[in-house]
Amino acid sequence: MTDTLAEPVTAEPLTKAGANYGFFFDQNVCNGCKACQIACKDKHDLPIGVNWRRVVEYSGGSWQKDGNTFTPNVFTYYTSISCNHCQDPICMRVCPTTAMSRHDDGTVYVDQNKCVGCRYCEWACPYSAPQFNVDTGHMTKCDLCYDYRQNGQDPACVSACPSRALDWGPIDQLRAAHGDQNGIAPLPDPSITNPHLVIKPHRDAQRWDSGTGHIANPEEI
Amino acid sequence: MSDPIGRLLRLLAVHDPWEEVLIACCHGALPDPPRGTLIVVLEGCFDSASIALPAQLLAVGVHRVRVRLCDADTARSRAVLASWQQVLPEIDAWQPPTARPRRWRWHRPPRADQILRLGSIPLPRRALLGVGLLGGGPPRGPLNLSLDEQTRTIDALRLLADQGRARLVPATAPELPSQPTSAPAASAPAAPAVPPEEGTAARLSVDGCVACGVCVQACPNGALVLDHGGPASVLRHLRQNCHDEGACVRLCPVGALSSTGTIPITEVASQPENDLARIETGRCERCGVRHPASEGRLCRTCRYRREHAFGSSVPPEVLSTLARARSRQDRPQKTRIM
Repeated sequence: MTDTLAEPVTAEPLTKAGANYGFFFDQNVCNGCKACQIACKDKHDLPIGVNWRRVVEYSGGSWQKDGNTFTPNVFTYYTSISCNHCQDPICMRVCPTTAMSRHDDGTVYVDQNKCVGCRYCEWACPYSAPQFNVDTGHMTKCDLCYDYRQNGQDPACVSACPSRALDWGPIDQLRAAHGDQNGIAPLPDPSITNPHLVIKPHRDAQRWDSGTGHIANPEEI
Repeated sequence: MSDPIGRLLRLLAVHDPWEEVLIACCHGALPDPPRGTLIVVLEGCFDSASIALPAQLLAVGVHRVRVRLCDADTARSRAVLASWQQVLPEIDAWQPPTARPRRWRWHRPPRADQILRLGSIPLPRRALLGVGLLGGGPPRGPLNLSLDEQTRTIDALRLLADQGRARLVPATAPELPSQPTSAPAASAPAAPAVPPEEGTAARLSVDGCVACGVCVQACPNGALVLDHGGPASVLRHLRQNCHDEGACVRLCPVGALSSTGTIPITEVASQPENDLARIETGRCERCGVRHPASEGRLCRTCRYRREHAFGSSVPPEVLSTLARARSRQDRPQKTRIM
């Protein structure tokens, strides 16, 4: 490794109080390569079965027969999803030991000293962001790469995306730049937790409550 | 944490051994035993005294322990003494010299250095000079003074039992369902309203355990262990570590654990471990956790996630667990006692 590629460590920390950081995701340019998922897994050294960031493939449609001609009308689009550091984190509400906590900058994390691994947050989170580490017996989840941000670096998933489909920042800035769409199928009703997530929808994207497709890779989610 | 008995034992460790120790209630006048007898005055009334003190004194080499009962409520005091004697037969009551009016007889009051008050035990001079004795270093004498009082007491009782000087309650002590703290049978005739030795460990019972391990993580004292061996998981209760905190009962996600009172320390010493439950378990294919084999290839949580990738649910029984856990949330979580 050379120093030329590394971000300068003297950069300003990106953990400002009250910033309410969130993610932006552009469905139009994601091709489902899962580099974000692997970058996250590598950065946090996650065990088998724990994937803080996952890429969902949502497919659907059919075809029409017109005489001897079949006209396809099918679609597939990808959604990269991790913890959205929600405004109303249901994980914090159901935690019996107050282990699920929030930094001043709005990011939600698990206090490993308090967590007893009851998995209520895993049941409750509609994005299945908190995941159980069987080796430690505690819950784990995305903290938006807190240590990277302290050094002024971007989260690993954002840096890794070869299509520049992922971005992050204070949610107000993201919404000002990209709108406030975040209820795209197969994602759940955004009113459950008010996620700090902005999605630029795919041309075939469907609303969360009127999706006609199915998740093509359910075992990866 | 204050540990008055620990300070007393440290002081005794650097002095010439006392032949005899007289344990006195804080009420009433001080006894005047012969020279060579150390008087240890309790912090409270003898009615609520614990067997921890005499057990540890005998274990560290005091030859004889006698007891001066409380003047105020002698029936209760006698019953406490009876329960001690049932375990440690060497203990006996100190009888003050009778008849003569005390003021006029030839009286020799106990010397100041013959009296120690629990709660205000002086530090050994060597400790003041930094020569050690306050933790650290290899344990001196038969008891490891750096351990907490409960562990020391259990060690002392087991040591005395090995020497044939203590009779621990047999492991098959009758459990009285109507009476949460089961009293040693022999103390009952002395006085019916007498409390038994205050228990230290929770008397846990298990019904419907799913081997999730939350209680193991929740216990601040490491008193619960899940052993996964072969096709079964065994939930073991290390009673000697248990301080009856109740975190396991509050946080159990399926409400399988319940506590029906406490276990007297003598019973803990005779049976320091107890198997609470044995569950046939397998490994979840998705998360790797051990779960009841009857649930299939996936644990409950993973089965829900597989079926509802973006679902949000809370198992119904969790709501009651949450209420139970939050009702005690003011208590510190995951703090060590000692």
